[in-house]
Amino acid sequence: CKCTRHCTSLMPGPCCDRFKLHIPYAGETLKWDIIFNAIDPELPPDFIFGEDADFLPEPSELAHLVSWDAGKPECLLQLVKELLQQYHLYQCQRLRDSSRLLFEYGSLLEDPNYGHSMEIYAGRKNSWTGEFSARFLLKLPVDFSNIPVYLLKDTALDPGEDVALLSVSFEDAEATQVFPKLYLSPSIEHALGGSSALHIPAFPSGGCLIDYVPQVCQLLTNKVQYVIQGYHKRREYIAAFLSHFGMGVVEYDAVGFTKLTLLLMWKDFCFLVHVDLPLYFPRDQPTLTFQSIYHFTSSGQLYSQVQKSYPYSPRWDGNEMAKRANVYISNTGLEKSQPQSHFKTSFPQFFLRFQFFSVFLNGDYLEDEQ
Amino acid sequence: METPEPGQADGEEQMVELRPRTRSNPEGAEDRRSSTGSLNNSLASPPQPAVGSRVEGEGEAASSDSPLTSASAAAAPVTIPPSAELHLRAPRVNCPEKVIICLDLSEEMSLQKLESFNGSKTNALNISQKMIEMFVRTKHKIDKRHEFALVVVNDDSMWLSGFTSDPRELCSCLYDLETNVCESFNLEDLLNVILQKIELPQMENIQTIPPPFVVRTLLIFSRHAGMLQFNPSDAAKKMLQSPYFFFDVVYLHNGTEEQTEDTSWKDVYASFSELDSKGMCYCFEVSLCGPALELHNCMAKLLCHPLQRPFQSHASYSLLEEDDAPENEATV
Repeated sequence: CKCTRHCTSLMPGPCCDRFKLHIPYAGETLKWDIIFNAIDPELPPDFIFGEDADFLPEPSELAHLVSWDAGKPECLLQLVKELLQQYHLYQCQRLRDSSRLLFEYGSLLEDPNYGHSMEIYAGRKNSWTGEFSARFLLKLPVDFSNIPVYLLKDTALDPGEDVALLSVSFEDAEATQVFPKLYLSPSIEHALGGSSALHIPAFPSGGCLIDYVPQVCQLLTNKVQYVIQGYHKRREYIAAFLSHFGMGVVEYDAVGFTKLTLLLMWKDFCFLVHVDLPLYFPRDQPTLTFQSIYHFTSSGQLYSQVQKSYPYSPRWDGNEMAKRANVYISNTGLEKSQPQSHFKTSFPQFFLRFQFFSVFLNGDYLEDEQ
Repeated sequence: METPEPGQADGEEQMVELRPRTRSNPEGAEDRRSSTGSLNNSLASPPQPAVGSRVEGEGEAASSDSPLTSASAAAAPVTIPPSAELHLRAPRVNCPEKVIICLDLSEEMSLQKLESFNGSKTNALNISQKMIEMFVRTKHKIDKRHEFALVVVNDDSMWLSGFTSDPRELCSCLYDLETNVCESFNLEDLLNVILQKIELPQMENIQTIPPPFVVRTLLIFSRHAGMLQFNPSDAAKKMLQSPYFFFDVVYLHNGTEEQTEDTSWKDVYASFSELDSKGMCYCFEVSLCGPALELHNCMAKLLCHPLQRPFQSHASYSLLEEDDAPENEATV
């Protein structure tokens, strides 16, 4: 919520007795004026509820208004909370103008997963079409607690709660124009792969929230599971590679397990293999980059070749992946890490120590083979 | 960098246990040494083992490892005593490295003795420059947080460039260098130059909390200046003993077996090894009369992150041949 001081007081001069409170609610921003009286500060405040002229909460329902205690610092906060509850009820009652939307509301209310954290904004009927519209904002009960910590942004920068909110806007009372939108707290959005994490299916025509919302929940839960599993799978993969190639490891990501570089040798010739593991591994295949330690390209860059497709199955376990990668690298690694045009026969079967290399290692800078 | 959660640090320790137990390292000598943290002087072996027998279990040696045995160990005058901190190893986390490349500019570096790939002769300076460029570019490609500096070593040492994470910045200073006749090698001066520019991390718990960075000196050295004689200051000793400081050396020698000035290249090489009180540094010797390929390969092996690389004697890079039986790397 945001506080601003734009209101004028009864008395001239800074009286500090009135301010505006901005409250995010169901995708809208409520702008309420809170008005104390500088002359009699013990009195409870008065409220103006923005443009919601019809919102007239019953004062007897507001416990902290009835027993207002100017000495208690949290009294105003509790009063605002009670007002918001009343506002919520007020908005829900406005849904009665549309039986369809009232049904949506009722069915969600019964579900303990969603019923308790719904915010509803039933907009005014559109003055020229007479249409009624409403927006539902739901907090999705998705568990983010097991997401690997390294994926979450620095909590000093993003200290808020990890939350997923689904907003569904009904532009007409018959629910033929329905626009859902997913909001994720920045850490979670980043952890799930960025803005692509916000893609959700369109609201099915003739569908209803009680079917759609659990579907979105499940989609999000699946993504979280994918990311968690991906982390554990990458860790397993790197452990397996270290077991197979461990004595030749150059460097590996020991926090997120997203990359690994190996130094390999064949008959006195060395080459490097960089392995990059994607976020949705093992569904997505790791990239292998073969790099020469002897060659540069004509533009002075390291000579390397990227390999994105090679024998692979996401169903193999880490050990199997390491074994198969070993075979692949053994067969093709030296060849792929050197400029192609200088090899006349395939490696490593007919490898001759100096004859081949004399041809192309003469110069320091070679043609870019890519 | 963020401290990994305890779960991950534990995972790291599990990774240590997953490391292959080779035929010649059946009890995981490395693990035992790091996990017990016991002082070295409780064991029978002398505090400074010779090159090539750095730890109790000697794994398959890398091809360019020195064939030396303990014969030259006794000749070395320089000994950095082990301290209690030595046996505490930092976790195997790929924290950023600050690599100080120290390039010897003595005239031996410009002798045209190295055998290039096409059979022609080239000099060590030429090859070193290309190797260094390959090194910084590759390290940068692996992790953009790594930083580099360049120091040139004549009679005294001079800090030319760095620290920078941009390999081009370092490479721009690399190619306009000339060699000259150098009278001696002042190791104390080199260490002081380094001391002035770095501040090593101080961590509360060495074994479990990864440092924000490590510092590695990479000395490419070729002059035949006799044994290293120096009295390290307390600050230099402390730096050499820190678990976050590494002193890697590539020693280019004339390769002859003759003794000149009462020392052979093997003695000089051994004395470099004596600087490594923790047993975690890499030290290579390459003959200036041999193939340039060896020099390239050494530099490639020096790419390895000091906190994640095996002991030098355990390092092995060979690919399996398809028709070979599986190597002694046990499955976990």
